[in-house]
Amino acid sequence: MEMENRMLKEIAEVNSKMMKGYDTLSQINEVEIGLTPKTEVYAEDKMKLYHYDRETEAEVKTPVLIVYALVNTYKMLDLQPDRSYIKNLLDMGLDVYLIDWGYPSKIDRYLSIDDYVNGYINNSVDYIRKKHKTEKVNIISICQGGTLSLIYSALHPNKIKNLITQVTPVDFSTNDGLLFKWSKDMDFDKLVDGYNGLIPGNFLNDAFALLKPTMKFIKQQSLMSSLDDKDKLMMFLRMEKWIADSPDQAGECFRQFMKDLYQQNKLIKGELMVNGKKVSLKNIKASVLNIYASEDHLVPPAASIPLNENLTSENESVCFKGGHIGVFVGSKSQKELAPKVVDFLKKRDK
Amino acid sequence: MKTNNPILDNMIDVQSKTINNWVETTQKFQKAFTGGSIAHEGQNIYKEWFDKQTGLLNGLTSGSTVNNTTTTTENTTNSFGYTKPEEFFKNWYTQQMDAIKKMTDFNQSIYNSFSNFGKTSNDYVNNFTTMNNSWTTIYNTWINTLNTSYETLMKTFPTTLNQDTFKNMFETNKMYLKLQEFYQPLFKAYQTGTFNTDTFSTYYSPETYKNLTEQMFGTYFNTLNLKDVFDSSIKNIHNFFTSNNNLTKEYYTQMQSISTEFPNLVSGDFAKLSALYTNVNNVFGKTFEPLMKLVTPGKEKETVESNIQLLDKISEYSIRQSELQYHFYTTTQKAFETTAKTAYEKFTTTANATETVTFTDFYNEWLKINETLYTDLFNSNEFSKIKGDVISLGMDIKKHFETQFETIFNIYPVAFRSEVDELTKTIHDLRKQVKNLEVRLAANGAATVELEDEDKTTRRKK
Repeated sequence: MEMENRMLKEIAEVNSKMMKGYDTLSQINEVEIGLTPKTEVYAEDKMKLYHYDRETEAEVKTPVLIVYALVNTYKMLDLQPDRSYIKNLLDMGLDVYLIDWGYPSKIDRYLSIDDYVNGYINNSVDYIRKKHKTEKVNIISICQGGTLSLIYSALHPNKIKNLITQVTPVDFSTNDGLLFKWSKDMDFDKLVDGYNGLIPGNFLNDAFALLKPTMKFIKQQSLMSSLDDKDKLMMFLRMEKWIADSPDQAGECFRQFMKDLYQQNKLIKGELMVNGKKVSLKNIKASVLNIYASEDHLVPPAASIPLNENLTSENESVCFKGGHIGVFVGSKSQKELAPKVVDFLKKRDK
Repeated sequence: MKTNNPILDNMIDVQSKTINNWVETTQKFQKAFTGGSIAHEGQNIYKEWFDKQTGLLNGLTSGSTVNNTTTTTENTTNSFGYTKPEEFFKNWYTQQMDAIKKMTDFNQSIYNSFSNFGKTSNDYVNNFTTMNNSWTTIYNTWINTLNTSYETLMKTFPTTLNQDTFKNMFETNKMYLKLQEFYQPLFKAYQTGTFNTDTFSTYYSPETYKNLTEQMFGTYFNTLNLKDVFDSSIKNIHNFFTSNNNLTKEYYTQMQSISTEFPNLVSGDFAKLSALYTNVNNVFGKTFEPLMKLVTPGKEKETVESNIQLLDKISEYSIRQSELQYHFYTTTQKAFETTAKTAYEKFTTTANATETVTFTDFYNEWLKINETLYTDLFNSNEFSKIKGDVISLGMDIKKHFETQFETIFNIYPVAFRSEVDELTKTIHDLRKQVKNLEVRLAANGAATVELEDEDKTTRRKK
């Protein structure tokens, strides 16, 4: 009887929280992310190049280009003022540019790795070089953006001074992460052709959600206990907004990335061909800082660590405690990640 | 837990007080019964409870009336059609009051039964148990009404993000309550000491696990309605063969009939000849008319062959999809059983465990076990293979539909996807060529050429 009474009380408490949740959520009119001021300086097709506004002169003279993954959007790096990797980089003296890939549509289905690397990234780099009258730029890259940046740096070694790769997959032979394991059994030709050359963002989101099967329930518990804490609630909503914002993927680039990299691991083997040219990591001349996350379930450390032994240029490797996203938005990393990166760049800014 | 809305605060308050009132009353009753004073105190306990409930009910009604006239809200008309949440809540209150009245009436009848003294102690216990079970049933009905109302509530949110967030909260809450319901028999068994780790699973049917799995992993159970497709394809094939057979059959019958009439053709009987001619004409029309339709010869046969191939693919897909779902169902079952056993050990063997354990503790344990078991499942080679196959087969069927669609409708003047794709490829290649040329031009520093406006040329000529 006592247990039944307790359970009745628990039901009542949960329902009360639901009502509270309704009340709070219905009062919030807008949730915005990615608000650090910036200016669009160049555009090509759906890609936009932004230059972040600075009030003071940059302390690191060589400008920085942030290359994010094609999956989800860069706005996770600028979630809110006190959780903004981009703002931290600016505050620490970097002159920051960023590529916004936009939202591919059917007309973009034939965009390949070549288009992204030798097209959009190269043209953005050339724009910055011309604007700043500099031979080389720095690249800070994230996840798949890091893989694309490595390919770019290998094909255009004289344009990149320093390269920061963060939670970047390079060696796809590992089965440590579920995505790596599952991709070995997928027919990506059928997938791309079945979706008529445009992979829906929701398809990827569903796959990511399965990586932690009960996360959605745990998240809701956390939300229910945060309803009285407006800051926590807003942070939750901003993350949800970012997660839900998942662009579709251009089919040919997706096909090549999954087949040549995830399935055949061509990059680390030196067999990857882009526009008829072989991509060799050994061609990279830039100094490389390779950052990976210890509890990354999307890009396990085993996929990132091997980068350094395949480089001939100066390089370092740093392990950050946390998950794939936590490395950028976690409270601890606000004080650790940007300083590490800026320090690396400052020492090499000649 | 206060909100910004007095109506919500009132509702939360009433709900809490209702529960507390009930809990306090049952505790008093138990104490009176074990103390041997139930005969004297029973009536008073229930009268006290009844009076309090009536007071709460009246307070709820009058509170809502007062608050409806004085409450202001920041929510104005939104795109989902509600002007103010209070309008929704008015209807919601009516439903709740009906439920509360039922509870009140029921307990009134129990109160009345206690006014008859001289009943045996077994009667009190039995009545109490019946009453408690009925209360739980009525309360669960109330909660279900609450949950149904929440679905309507979702329409009042200002943005899609808020709506989706609340929807996720609501779905999780539903599952939490569903789990509570599922595990009720187990909790009873824990408390009464009748739990048996070997036989407890007989309390549950496969349907239980199926429902729970589909609530957790809905995406993998929302496949296209293949049965409709299957039925439709079968029907098409059947119709094709039936219609052909019928044509053949009728033609054959008529020709047979004509052949028996042949000796009479040369007898000079023009009426019979006319009738024969009419018959042949009719059969000819019926047999060959379908072939006069505006369909390319062999089209029907192609369509039927395509349907047969589709049925093969659907069968293969269904088999693999069932295998995938089977893995989900059995993992849910395993998690269910593991949680029951683990919870029994954890929550009943520590001192005063049953006094302090909450369902939330149990729910957290269930989540942890599910995370482990499902991660193991997803890491298995078998799951990876089946998942890959299901996706591929699904894409095959999708592509088949699209190809069939284009085949069937290719007589119409519309541009199909495959044709547009060809165009897209051409545009992409040309665009790339143009960009390359622009880069080369810029690199070579070529002079730009201005194209003169036709009007200016014309004016100059004048």
